[in-house]
Amino acid sequence: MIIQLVVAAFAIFALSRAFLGFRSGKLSWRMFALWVFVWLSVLTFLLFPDVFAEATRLLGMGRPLDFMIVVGIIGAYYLVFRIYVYLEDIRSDMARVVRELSIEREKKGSGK
Amino acid sequence: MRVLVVVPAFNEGAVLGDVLDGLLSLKVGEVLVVDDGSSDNTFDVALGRGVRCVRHFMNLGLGGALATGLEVARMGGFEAAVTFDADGQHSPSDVIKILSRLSKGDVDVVIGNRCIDGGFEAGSGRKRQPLSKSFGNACLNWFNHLFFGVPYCDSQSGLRAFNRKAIALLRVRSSRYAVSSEILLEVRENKLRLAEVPVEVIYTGHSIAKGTKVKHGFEIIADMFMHVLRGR
Repeated sequence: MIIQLVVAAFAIFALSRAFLGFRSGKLSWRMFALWVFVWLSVLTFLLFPDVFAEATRLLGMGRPLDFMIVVGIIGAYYLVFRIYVYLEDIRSDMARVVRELSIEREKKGSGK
Repeated sequence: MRVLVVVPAFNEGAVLGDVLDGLLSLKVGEVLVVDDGSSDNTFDVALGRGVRCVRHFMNLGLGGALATGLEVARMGGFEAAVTFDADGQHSPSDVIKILSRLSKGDVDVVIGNRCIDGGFEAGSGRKRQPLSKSFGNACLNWFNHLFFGVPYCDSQSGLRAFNRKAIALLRVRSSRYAVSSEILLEVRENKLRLAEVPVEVIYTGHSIAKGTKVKHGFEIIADMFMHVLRGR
């Protein structure tokens, strides 16, 4: 019971952070929607564990907790993918800056 | 035709001089070395030969260097750009060959195919690529076909020619070795016309040591996979 309260409090806190991030423009609407979905799912699981019982049964898993773990692993892989995309975008931006500076220096005749 | 020959180079000081001498003897146009943050004398060798040299202050990778070369070609209004590896694996005379094909005007991009009648190993008389290279290239061609749907025979060739339209349209994002596959994807998506011509490949100890290795092959496959996942 105590663990449920602690996790629920954390989920509400995380939801509020996501909302503040979205409102200040630091979080895109897609990422905001993703986090709302994740934390509302956690809250639903905590408050109404029976909701997941049917999905668990359909997927042939033993317990709702197993279902949550599988969903968590899939979610973690998705986050890794998002981080990869983010890093690639940073790498691309960095390459553009290096390129523009290098071409500018070559034009000025000072390659070094 | 105003041609820019782009030579991406990373720590190629040992062989770059010979490569540039070969290219300069052709007198096909300007030669541009893109020194991709080398720690050796690559930049000085290029300057010593009197060619243009853009120097990255940090290493971006093959894709980053090629994108810089294409950007210079775009900004300079060149009618054609040729990419030519700095490790000495290409024969300079093949530049004439691919430019001749390009100048016919019925294609926008020409790839030098090292598999058709090519693959000579220098001094050995062998007329085939080393097995490891041909197997690796075949695998990458297969993955290229699988992920990008581009069925070309030598997807990883560094010898290419682009006309003005292709130079204007191609946008390279990948900084690493996957750039070769990405260029073919860009060709398809921009509906550019492509032809392959057979070219010689000169396998020396240096070019084998500097070429695409197994780990690069896995990186290329992973990058292609991620390209598909993110939907570009």
